[in-house]
Amino acid sequence: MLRIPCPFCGDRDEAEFRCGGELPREIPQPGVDDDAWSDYLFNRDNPKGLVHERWCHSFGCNQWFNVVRDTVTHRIHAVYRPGEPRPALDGPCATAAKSGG
Amino acid sequence: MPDRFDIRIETAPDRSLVSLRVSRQAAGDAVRRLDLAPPLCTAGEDPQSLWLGPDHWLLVGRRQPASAMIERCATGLAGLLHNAVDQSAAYSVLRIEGRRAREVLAAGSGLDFREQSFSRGGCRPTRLAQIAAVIVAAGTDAFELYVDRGYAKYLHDWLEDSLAIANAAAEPM
Repeated sequence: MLRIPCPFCGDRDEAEFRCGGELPREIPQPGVDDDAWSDYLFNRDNPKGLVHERWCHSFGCNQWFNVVRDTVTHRIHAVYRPGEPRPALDGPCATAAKSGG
Repeated sequence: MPDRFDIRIETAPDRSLVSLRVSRQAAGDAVRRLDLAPPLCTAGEDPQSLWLGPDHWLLVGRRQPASAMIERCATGLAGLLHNAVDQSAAYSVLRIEGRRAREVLAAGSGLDFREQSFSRGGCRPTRLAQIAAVIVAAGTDAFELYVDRGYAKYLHDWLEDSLAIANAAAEPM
């Protein structure tokens, strides 16, 4: 079970949250073609390593926030609020080398 | 001698409950105007406010009806986008008190129930025994559990079972 640091409530068990999946890139401007729109809706990077994803603290404050999680180690590297810029973090190889467990 | 603790279930009309939501932009002003609870805390006596989120509080009235609390919000938050709704029929409130209360609650939740982490005046919207619950620390070893009304018996039974397990675990082998 993950321990997830809700920005409003602090560390809580994964069972208090609902995962909203990988954060999409920017929502397209109105008027883009079908390919661009469907790419936004259905395609995700699905990286091996650091992923930016959305979580909702459903059993707590009910707020959505963003998490940077390593899909190999499950370690959570950063948490940021909707609308805030993505934190600049090292790539997955560098992080795995430093983390040491 | 095994511990027993008193589990009391209180529902309306013992308590009036009002769910207050404000717009994010108005939350700071609303907190100042009505002395609403800061994060993870309760504030006030009657009405008491329980923090449910950065823009959401549960107002608890013990000697006043929900309508009075709603009126107080309307006047106190005039000009701020908000809604205040009577939720007295939505929740059951279970009160537990006793030496093993923290241990029993810890069996159903990943929260830190130690006194230094969760003392009187603390408020935790969380998950307890698989259901959504707002846990309020009402005293040194006293807690109030706000749950959806239909879960009152389930939670009462769970607390009894959990206490029996805690007592059995404490018996000398």
